[in-house]
Amino acid sequence: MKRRTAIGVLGGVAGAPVLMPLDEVGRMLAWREQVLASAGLAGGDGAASTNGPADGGGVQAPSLLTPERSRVMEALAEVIIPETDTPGASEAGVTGFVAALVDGWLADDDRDRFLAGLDTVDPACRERFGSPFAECAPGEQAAFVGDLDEELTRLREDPAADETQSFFHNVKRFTLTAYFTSEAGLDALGYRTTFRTFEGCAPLTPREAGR
Amino acid sequence: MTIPRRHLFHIRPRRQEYDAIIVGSGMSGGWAAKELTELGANVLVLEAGPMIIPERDYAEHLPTYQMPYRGWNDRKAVAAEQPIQGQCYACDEVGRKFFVNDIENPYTTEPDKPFLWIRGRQVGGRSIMWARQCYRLSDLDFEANAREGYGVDWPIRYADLAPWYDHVEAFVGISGRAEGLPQVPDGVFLPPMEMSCVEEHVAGAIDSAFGGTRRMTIGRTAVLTRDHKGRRACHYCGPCHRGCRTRSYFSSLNATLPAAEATGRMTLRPNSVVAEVVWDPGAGRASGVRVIDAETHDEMEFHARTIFLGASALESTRILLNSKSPDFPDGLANSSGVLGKYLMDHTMDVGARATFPGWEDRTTRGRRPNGIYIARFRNVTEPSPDFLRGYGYQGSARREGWGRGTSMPGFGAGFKSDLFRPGPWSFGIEGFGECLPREENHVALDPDQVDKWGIPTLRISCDWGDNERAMMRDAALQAAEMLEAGGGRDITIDTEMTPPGLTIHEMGTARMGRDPATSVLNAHNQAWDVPNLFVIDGASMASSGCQNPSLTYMAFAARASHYAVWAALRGEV
Repeated sequence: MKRRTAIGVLGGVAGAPVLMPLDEVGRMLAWREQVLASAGLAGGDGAASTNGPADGGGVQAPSLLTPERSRVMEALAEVIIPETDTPGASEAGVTGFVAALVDGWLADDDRDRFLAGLDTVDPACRERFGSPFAECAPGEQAAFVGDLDEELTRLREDPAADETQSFFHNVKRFTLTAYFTSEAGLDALGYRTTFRTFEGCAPLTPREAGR
Repeated sequence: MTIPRRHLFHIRPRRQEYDAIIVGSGMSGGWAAKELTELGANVLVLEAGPMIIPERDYAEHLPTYQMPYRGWNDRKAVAAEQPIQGQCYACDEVGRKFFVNDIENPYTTEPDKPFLWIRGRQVGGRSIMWARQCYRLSDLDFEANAREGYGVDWPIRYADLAPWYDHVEAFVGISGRAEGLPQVPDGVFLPPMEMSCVEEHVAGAIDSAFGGTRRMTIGRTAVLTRDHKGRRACHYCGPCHRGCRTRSYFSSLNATLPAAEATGRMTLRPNSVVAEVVWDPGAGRASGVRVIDAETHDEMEFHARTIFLGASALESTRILLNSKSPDFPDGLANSSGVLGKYLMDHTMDVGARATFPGWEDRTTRGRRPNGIYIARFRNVTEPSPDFLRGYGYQGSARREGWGRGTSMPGFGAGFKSDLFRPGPWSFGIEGFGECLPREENHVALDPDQVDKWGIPTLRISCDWGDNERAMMRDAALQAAEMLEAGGGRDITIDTEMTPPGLTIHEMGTARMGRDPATSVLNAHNQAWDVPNLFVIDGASMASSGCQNPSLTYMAFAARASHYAVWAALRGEV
């Protein structure tokens, strides 16, 4: 995480560590991020929250990631990580994770900003292309996401801006995490849980080499 | 481990006197349990937290997609219940059950002096979640206080402890490479783990760039690289801090407690919060401990001929401070008045990171539960004009993963296939620095606050000093210089120190010494004031070195246990 991003976390955005997926060797970085993140938590959101974990027990209120929002999120995610010779984000089931974040993880103001951003997508696409995002042609979807991604890049390069405040920043990081921690995503990566030994300088597998 | 249930629950106090009561079942308590029972003693091990059953409670292979937050942790629950513990990397979505509830276990600090007290209350203690790095102290450390006039002189030297390092290492199983470095003496090693291509390269580059004064070696870690004493070799799954069903890393739960249990002479009572050590003024010795049952809050006393405190540095200190009597109005074994003072931790989190072009057709295979170690060179092979003592580095070089996509432009099929390939090699190192013993860094009982069990909590006052700050400025700079010497690009430097406590090497509050007027313990971890009381955890440290300390605590615990048995046979305890 870049220093500027860390400051963004201190400012109250998504106060939690960036996932270091099952990887102990990245612990130092994770450690720093957790300290900064926790400082953000101590600053206000969260500590007084009464929201419990999304543990699946008992009667659950309907998700704030409504079917309409879920459709938009899933379609955006599929444009970011499309089905190729391996499953895409939609098949990997990204919306379950995003619903858990929206309902039980994001601080209220971050959640509201994210949902508000999601709610702008369909109206913008209707105006521009005549259809809600999920029903737009692939080229139209790519153009729309391309604009969002360009804007995100511009924010990232602007020292005065904080790109983590952008809703598309969250769309992208939720999508990547949901995909690469899903069963389908891990299978596609060729993820293995155990190894006979540790090799420090192993040749890439054909899959890793992109062949 | 197979501890029969009859030993675990519903043990009521009896008039029975044990040979020893051991307070704490973690790193040092586990060693005392093993050594004392193997020498024939009947011991009662009291653990404040619940039993941990590996087959039920370890979850190192739980796939991310079975975690509600995919490893991002239950952020709101952590904020509500574990705002302090949650700052430790190991207090994650799976592992956070091994860390205490901060609301039930409060403590206070001064507003401008944060101290992060990271605690684990369960059978196994923090040895379940420790980072497993093992380095011996040397005479550079044992002589430092006397040489420089800080703190008190250690009452021992390396030669006193070396056989006990041998003793514990042979049982623990530590993988590492012998280097012949006097500042981190070689030990009894299992085969070392491999360095990655970039680590090998940078190790060589540092060796030539600095004229042989700086040495990078593979980390010395309590993880088995081959089967060892009934425990299985590591299978490189990665998240050790969530437990290990093959017992491939050392913990008391994985190794010493089962050995003690095998003797038939250990009684283990979980959920036993020790409030104080009971002083018998007539006999001039400790008679037992007062315990509050963690679940029922029932109060009871257990009695023994000797008491071993291994509850962790600050918990053992807190118990002694709370053990007040007319003879010891300021806490048991505290005639010197130094109990609670000279708190130390190691500085951490200052260093540098760089990417390394090349080796694009190579990667690491397996999740190595270990990194590299750069042995201390400051005031060893290279002087420093700015500060006393020194620091070692830990870190690792590996290829970046898909997480880099979050800050990369792009989307679609090409973006996806990029993220399926490993990213650039990234190498980060951070300095672990020695902390000087200073009187003003101290803990005391809080007159205004008790924990869930009605026991007074600690007020902790601790801050880094000028020496630590100067040392870490240098550590950041030297980290960058070494990565640059190895050909690193895009070097970033981290200079912000984390608050004390978070390194989880807190120590020193019941220090050993040569003089009863200025120390709590003698050369055998035995209280000067109370001959049948031993403090065997990090509280006993007279200086901190810069080495990860658990190995030293283990050696002290084993050594003190043997001493106590021989002293008892001679009628001295």
